[in-house]
Amino acid sequence: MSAESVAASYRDPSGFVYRREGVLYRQINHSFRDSFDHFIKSGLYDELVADELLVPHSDADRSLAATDDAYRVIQPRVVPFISYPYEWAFSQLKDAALLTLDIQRRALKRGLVLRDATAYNVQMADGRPVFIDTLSFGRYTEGEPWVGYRQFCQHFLAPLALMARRDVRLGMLHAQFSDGVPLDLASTLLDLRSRANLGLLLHLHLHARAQRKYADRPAESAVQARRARLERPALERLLDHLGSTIAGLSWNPAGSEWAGYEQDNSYTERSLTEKETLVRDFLARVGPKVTWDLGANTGNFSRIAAGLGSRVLAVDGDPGAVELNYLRGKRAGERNVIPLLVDLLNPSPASGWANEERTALRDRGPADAVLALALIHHLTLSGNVPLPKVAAFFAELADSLIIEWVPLQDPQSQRLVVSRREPPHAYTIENFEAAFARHFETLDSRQLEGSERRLYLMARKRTRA
Amino acid sequence: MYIDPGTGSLIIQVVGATLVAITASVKGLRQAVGSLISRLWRRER
Repeated sequence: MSAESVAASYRDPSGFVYRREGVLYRQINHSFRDSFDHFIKSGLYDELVADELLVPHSDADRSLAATDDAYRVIQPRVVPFISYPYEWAFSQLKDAALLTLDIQRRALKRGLVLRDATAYNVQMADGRPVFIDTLSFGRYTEGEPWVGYRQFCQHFLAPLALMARRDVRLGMLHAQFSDGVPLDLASTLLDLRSRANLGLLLHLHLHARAQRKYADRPAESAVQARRARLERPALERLLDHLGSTIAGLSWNPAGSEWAGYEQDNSYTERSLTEKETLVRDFLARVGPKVTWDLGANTGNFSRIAAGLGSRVLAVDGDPGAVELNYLRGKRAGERNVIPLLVDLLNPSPASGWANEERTALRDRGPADAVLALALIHHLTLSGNVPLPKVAAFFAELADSLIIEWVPLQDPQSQRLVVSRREPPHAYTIENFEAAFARHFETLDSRQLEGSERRLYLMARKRTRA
Repeated sequence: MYIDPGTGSLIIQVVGATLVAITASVKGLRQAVGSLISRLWRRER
């Protein structure tokens, strides 16, 4: 029975995550014994788990350790789907930031501190952010500034400020910079008026300047800086200030491309109701535990799947749609839908060290079912992805597929091709059916009333083409 | 995992805490003066 390391978990000498026979464990090394025991005995673990801010764990037998230097082995509750900050909507990242600060404040009250503040310590689970790194807690030394302050500002404050005050798409910078958005870059990109905001002036602009100023100083000045004292009440006030700065950042998705789509589409009320009924019927026949709703918009059909007991990944490429989807779920207290910002024409690749730290979207499956409603025309007519390639991609994602054919004469398709010089060839229902028949067997298909659109229920063929 | 806190990031926290404290004091002072003025104003009337 060998231990299989988890590629993203190797930086921390205090311990690491691994799998044994498919079960996820975390090893805590002897070097971290004192801090871990203090974390548990302080009551912080119980407090955070009771308030659903931290993933709970159970104790596992030490014989399950992966290496000899294990002090303890724990079995964390598995987060159903791993997502990354560059796949989150504005409010998801903002809530993750506020969660991190909340935990840091609570830790401080119990004589502990967050030793790091990376956004990758947070995952989206049960409809909200949750902290996953049990080994991030160390003993607080009276008078010490917060060691995670730089990382917090780079991972949360900088991208949120850019998204709120410049362009929400700048959240994608997270994908490029593995340790958060450099503060000097954020400072350059932000508008002059952001300097009038005391929080942004201090935690971002002056912070960037201080980083620059001390970057090339000799080692002695770094040693002196480490002697800088910040008493606990002052640190608490600073954290409160950082919290109010984050809370003051907002983004309104009103002008976004698809955010108003559900109020502005080509369905009649009757055909929309019929489509909902059909999707519900198809889903009930499949009974998926995990559904990926691709092109989910604000999540109407995701919620039909969730209502049938499925955990749903609601993927859309429009920041506004994902933002509204998240806020909608948050307000309703939903736990089964994870909205995710991904451009399906350019889905998140494998990245990080050796391309192993963060997994490509495709490799985070498979799902039991994929919903691809009102999507095919975007992929093929806008994205120029040929139908056989779309079919092959979907066949990699799930055993079951519920897909809507949107014909060329549909007003939504026409919008996409109206300015084209050449009519798109090969975009016909015959070619669609032939392309998908290579990978899938069609179990059922129905034309939507009052529309030329058609809904298919497909099952992946056992032997792939 | 303990990360490199960054020298500039340590220094700015100390500077920032002072700035936040001064701002809070000025805000508190302004509120106190405002409330005193309004009390005197009410008394005068």
